[in-house]
Amino acid sequence: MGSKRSPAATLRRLVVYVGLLSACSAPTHAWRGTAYESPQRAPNISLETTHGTPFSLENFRGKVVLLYFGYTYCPDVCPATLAEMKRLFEALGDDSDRVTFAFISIDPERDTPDRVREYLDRFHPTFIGLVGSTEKVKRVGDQYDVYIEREESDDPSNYLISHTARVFIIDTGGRLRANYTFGTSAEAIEADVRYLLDEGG
Amino acid sequence: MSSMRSLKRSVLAVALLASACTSGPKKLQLENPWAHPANVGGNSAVYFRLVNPGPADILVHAESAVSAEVSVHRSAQDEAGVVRMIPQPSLEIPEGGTLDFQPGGLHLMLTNLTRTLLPGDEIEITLTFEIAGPQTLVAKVLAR
Repeated sequence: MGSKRSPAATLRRLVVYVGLLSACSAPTHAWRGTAYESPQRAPNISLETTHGTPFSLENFRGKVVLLYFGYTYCPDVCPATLAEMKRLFEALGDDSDRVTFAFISIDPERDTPDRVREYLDRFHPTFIGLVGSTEKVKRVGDQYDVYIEREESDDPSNYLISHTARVFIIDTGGRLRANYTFGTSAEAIEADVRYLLDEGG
Repeated sequence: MSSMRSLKRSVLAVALLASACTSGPKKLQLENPWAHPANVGGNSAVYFRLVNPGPADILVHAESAVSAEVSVHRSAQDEAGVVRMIPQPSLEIPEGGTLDFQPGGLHLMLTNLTRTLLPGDEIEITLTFEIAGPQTLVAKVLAR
């Protein structure tokens, strides 16, 4: 009789074991985007901001950086993505101070720095615009596995560009962690941004 | 009994009149139209829901004073996440069908804007259908 435990006592012990077990296992994050299996340092971005200053990812350590390759003549997916990024920044509230969004223009021929600045200001004044020569933009795009192809039209001055419409996310330590296909909601990206902000401390 | 009969007649007459007033051609509905802001010389897109309670129809033409050209495109994303625009030169609207024009999908593309579209502006687009004829759409410019 003395060695037998009551069902309540057994249950209590079980709860303690489960608690210990969960404390031992590393917390896993369910990424809303496509996560990189072994995250590497994000490729450098040797471009200029719309204010004419050189851009370097090194200057953004401690922040989560979101990157998008687009162009201001883009009629559909680029403004839709920027509107989603605006919603994301609004949802982040004060935490948006620790997040940077950078728009890399893939249309050096038409996207002047002023045009890109004016375009981004319509969505959010903190959004950074990055510009550079066709060769420089292509080099950055290749490093992020971004496809860029100009589609010729009857009017040579009004062409469209087919392009990778993913948003890339870089953690506070400068590592490329995940990307999001077009159509991923601000709420989904916010969950990953908050995880990376917590992880960064 | 005769007053009851006359009441029945009156009810029937009112019902017939009411149905005569509401019947007629079933019109296409263009719901909640909006457009992206964009610079003069640039491009934008218009989105809305098209509800067709009538017979099958075809969108044959679109034009607006705010752009050199209005065309129908569908954005398509492949497995690699690359988005391409696919022109839809003549768009079929099925009988009793609904088509959603939405970001990243079907949209009216405004090419080479004649003026800057700022949030809050309203722009007019005329869509011409084979059966329903010309229909005017007033879209609000929204940064969303």
